[in-house]
Amino acid sequence: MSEAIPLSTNEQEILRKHLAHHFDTPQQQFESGKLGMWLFLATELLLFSGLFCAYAVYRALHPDIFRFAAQWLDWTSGLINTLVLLSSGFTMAWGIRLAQMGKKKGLAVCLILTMTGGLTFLAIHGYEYFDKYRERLLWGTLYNPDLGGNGKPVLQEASAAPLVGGSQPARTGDWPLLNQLGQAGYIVSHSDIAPAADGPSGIVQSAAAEPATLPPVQPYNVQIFFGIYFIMTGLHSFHVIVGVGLMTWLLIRTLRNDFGPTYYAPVDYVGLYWGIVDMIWMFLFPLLYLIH
Amino acid sequence: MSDHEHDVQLQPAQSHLVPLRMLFIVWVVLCALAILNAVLANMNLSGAGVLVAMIIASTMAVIAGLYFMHLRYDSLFNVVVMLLTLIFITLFITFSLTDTANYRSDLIPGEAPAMVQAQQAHAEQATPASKSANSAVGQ
Repeated sequence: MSEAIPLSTNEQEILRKHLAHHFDTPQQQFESGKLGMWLFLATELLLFSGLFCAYAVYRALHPDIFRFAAQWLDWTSGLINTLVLLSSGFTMAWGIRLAQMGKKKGLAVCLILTMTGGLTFLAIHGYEYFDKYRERLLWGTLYNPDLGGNGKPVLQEASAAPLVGGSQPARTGDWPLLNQLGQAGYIVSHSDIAPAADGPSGIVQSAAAEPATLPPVQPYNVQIFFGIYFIMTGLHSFHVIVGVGLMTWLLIRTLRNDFGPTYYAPVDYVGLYWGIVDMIWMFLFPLLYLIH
Repeated sequence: MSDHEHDVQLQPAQSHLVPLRMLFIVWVVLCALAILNAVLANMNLSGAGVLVAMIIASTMAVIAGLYFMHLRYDSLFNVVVMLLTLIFITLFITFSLTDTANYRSDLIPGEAPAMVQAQQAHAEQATPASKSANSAVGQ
């Protein structure tokens, strides 16, 4: 704690106005608010961790699908978005510094720059989504890309694809859902994983080395990758939209002269939120755009 | 708010002022690491690629947390909250992966007939094509 600084009556008024009755000092209120914010950010990370877990399990089981789908994800636009978001993180941190020093004009400029960063990120991402929509690279049954031409792998004929239970009708009863999907023309279950050895010991043969090139035919269930891609980036983009909204609110309050060296807590808290949005993207970028 | 006596002198909350120079350096380092990540991914490190990418991403997250989010100068309790969250996430994901690996349907023969059949059909389909390609080369 620093030495007591003599404050003007006006500054005392501001401090009194913002100090809630259940706190003793502005310092205590500020620290409590920060702790509350960090707890909220912890729940945000836990929310995303569920999606990261789904990603990890699915990628561990089906690396072939990820290698195949990676051809449609443009790492340059991902990198540009990363740099845009990092820059907006920098302007946000700068804005907090200016708020602490009581430089209101600088704070307003930094908030506008941060907002611009968020909006640029959303624009680039929106274009990516539009592109995926045009190519029908979507989730579930909406996944239906045209795989002919352009040097992209050619899709197997659906009728030629192995359907569930084909040669073992006795077995089909055990798999009603899979069987239904198979009859609906869905291509069910295939993976890169080597099948179990037939020997009595049941020892599994070591998996063959991963092919360096794309698999010659499309692996099954690529739509699940795009489901994961859209839910992860979509939830993140939603957070960016909320962040831009918060920046707007901060900007209005800044222009209204609400913030100064004696009171800037909301700027600090929104800065923490923007930091976690940045942080989550730092992981999404390599996981979704840098698959090889 | 009116509970506070007016004769008590309040002091504004103090928090560390991160130097602009430091913020700028952090920004440059973060951008450099992001570019490094993309470059390394394009160099095709195969199996180690994911691990390297995750190490770089974690380094970036730690740097951003320490400086952009002031954790280095902040109350230790906030750091503890973050660390506990990360420990929980690590447990969550590693245990899920361990579990998935142990119950992989094709490790137990006959457990997933659909998958085995699909793989056999897949292999059969791939072989005639490669055979005909070979014979074409032979002629």
